[in-house]
Amino acid sequence: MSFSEEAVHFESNGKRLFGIFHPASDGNKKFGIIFANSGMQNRVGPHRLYVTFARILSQRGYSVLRIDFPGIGESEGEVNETHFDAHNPDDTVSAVDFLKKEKKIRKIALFGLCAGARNVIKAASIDQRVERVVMWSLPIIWISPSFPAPALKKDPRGWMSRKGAILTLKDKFQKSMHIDAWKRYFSSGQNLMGILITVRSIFWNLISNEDKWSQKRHHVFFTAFSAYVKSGRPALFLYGSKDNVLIEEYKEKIKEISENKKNSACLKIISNGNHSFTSVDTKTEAISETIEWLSQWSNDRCNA
Amino acid sequence: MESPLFINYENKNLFGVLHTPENRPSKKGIIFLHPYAEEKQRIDRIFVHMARLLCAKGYSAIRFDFYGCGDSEGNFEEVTIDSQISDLRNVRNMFVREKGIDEISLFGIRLGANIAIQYAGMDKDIEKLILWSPIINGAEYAETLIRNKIFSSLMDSKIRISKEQILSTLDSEGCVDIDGFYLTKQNYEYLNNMDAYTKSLNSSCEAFIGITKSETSIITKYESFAKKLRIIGNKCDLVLTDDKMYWDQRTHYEWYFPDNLIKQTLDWILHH
Repeated sequence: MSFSEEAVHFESNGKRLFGIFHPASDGNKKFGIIFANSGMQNRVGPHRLYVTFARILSQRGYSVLRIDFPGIGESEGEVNETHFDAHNPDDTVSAVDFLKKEKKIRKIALFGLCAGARNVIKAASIDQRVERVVMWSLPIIWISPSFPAPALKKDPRGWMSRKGAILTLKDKFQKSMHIDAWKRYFSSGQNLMGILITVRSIFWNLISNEDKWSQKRHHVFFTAFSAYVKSGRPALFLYGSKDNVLIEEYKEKIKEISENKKNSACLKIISNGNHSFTSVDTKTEAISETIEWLSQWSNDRCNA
Repeated sequence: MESPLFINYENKNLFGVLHTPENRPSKKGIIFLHPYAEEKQRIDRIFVHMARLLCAKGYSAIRFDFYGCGDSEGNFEEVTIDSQISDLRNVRNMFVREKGIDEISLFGIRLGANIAIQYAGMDKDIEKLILWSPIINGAEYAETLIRNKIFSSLMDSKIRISKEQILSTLDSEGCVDIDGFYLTKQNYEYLNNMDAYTKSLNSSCEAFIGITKSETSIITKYESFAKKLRIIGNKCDLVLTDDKMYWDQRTHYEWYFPDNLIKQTLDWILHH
């Protein structure tokens, strides 16, 4: 089997962005999937997830483009903010242009994990050429407890709902019972200030009466989410069962916007999976479930 | 100028990025060696930043992913110390050939620094070693990996597994999944027996060892390591900076750069 992966560049908003292109192993140019960075992780993904997944997809007849957003990996630019709406969906749309124009790929889907999932649904809501979206561990409101709450100067609640704050409190309490957790925390150069910031964020969320669906800091994302789901284009929402807050918030949100009408969103839950499907077993299952879902798309090969 | 490329040797494809100074071509070149498993991801942009800074000062540089890591071909469980040494040798040959380098330095972080030390013992053309937080005790490092596995199992699955159970799996299956990367029995044994400090020293090298305040508790170990290097005739500078542990998950989320260490390292390289 010959190695055919290629380092590529494309322009976006005046910046030269980088990606790795995996052509479909059978040479077809029908289906292409763009992988968007998971937060600050470069195109390789957490524990090399994006590389593994892209290589399997390539063997199954899909071309894949793993991109780096500005300031990440090999791309030009700087990272100015580190929250999960920090990356501009226009950059993903530029990657769609690249696949269509330079690689002559006819049908496009997007994939992202966590912050990458937020990005791709926003990109798909503004680019009708995107036919499908695969979102793993899409945060609706809540952030992972290990993720520092952003924009604290502007809003001490960070990115949490009240329920998220309660669960964060439980999670932190549970971890604080283990000496290894403290060792890890302090040995990494962290100090008490980090703990105080988290406690402050939890406190403000606990006393907040804010309606979580009206949170201004999520407005752009909620609009994009609704627009995409209502467009009728298929979407896969895949979560690890350990991401219980995210799953619950997803269910509430999808119910609210679809008003119990039928929609093309599909929810899959991977047993024992955590936020980034760290274990090899859960990663393998998540990939397998996604490929099964994508097969509905590629079954249209004859008509494509 | 930055040129991403796949370096092919012996039917392996290694991803790399070659940095070439625009106006001031230099005969000095630096090869970057990344750390183990997920630590590689966390220092990725620090490497990019350092390579760009050095290139602006007239140095050629090459960053590459070992076989089975990053964008390179292969699976992580196929990685061995021998495969990494072989990767480095081939990248070094390509770098020297393509860029006409006559002064080669190695810059490694964590386990990448240990590979640099080991390789320098075999290649007398290596002139400088830039070592950020090399692993001083391989057995302790291996122990940390096992502890991470125990901690993750407890947090993710509420299952308490023992070190003995993990070692038994390592024995019977040849590898064990630690945070998404397979630790092989071979690599576990390598870490436990790692003695890069005494058997692989190259007495013609100048070395810079950069550590952060997070390692203050083991500074005496670093001092004794630096002393060993000096005893056999190397010039060696040990520098402690007021930086956080930049290869940690939390500091990565903060997009943290060890600016003091970066500055001190650049000063050292430019003045030696």
